[in-house]
Amino acid sequence: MKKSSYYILATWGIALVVTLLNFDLSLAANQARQQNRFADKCTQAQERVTTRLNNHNTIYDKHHNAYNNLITRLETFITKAKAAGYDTAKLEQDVAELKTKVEKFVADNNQYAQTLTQLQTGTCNQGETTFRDSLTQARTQVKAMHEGAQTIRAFIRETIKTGIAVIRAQTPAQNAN
Amino acid sequence: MEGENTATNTPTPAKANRSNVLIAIIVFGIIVGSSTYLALVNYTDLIAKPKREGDIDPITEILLMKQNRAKTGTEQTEADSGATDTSSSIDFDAEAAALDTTLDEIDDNNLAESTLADIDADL
Repeated sequence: MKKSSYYILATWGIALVVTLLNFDLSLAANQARQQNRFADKCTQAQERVTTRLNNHNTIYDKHHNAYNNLITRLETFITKAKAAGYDTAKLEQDVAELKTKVEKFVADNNQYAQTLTQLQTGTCNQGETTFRDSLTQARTQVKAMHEGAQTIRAFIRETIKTGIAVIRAQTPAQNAN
Repeated sequence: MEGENTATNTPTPAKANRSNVLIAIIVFGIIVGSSTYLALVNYTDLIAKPKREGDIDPITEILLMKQNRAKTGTEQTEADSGATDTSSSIDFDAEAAALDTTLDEIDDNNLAESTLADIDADL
């Protein structure tokens, strides 16, 4: 083999190494850029999550207070109706069911609030996939809360109000306590 | 002469009967009249008349007591065969309206899934 051939092979070899090195560096740089871009987006999203969490707490408190007030009012009504000699057994069952629904609403809220808090504080540095998964979970949880609130509304409008109307139609017993 | 005088002074049976009926009517009238008078006097003096100045007469007092019982929802009226009147203590319309009012104060759409849409848009 001629001496010049060695030079040519050496040059190609060096060129190949430099190309591969550049490619690798380019991939790493691209990944770093993507991570930086997500970090920027995630920080922005977290600010929105903070706002959403604050708004949600206000909305939740309003719902929860309303449900508690309704339950207290219904319990007072039952006490008065029972004392007046009305049969309130069915309404008492319905109010117990309403309490169960409200408890589920509270539990759903706790899960949703916990997920929002995780999104707000920790998941950006765990990567985009983790953040998106948490966001999907939050969406499922808030959907459950929305459905729960609608169920409670329908239950009060249809079952509880009907129960009151049924009591109204009764002739109260004489031997009321 | 003796025989004529005896015949003139003896009263006839018809006259005696009229006198007896008259006496019976007078006695009956006195009894009925005095009973009625005593009944009226007892009623006004012992039952209806206030004992002292400022007292409420018993009939008014009974009426007032009935009204007060109705206000507290404990009166048992004759009309509903002894059923307890509780209409003044339980307002069914107000209870139903309160449920609606409380529900109207909250908006379930604030909990819709779409409330997270702006976060999705950031990513």
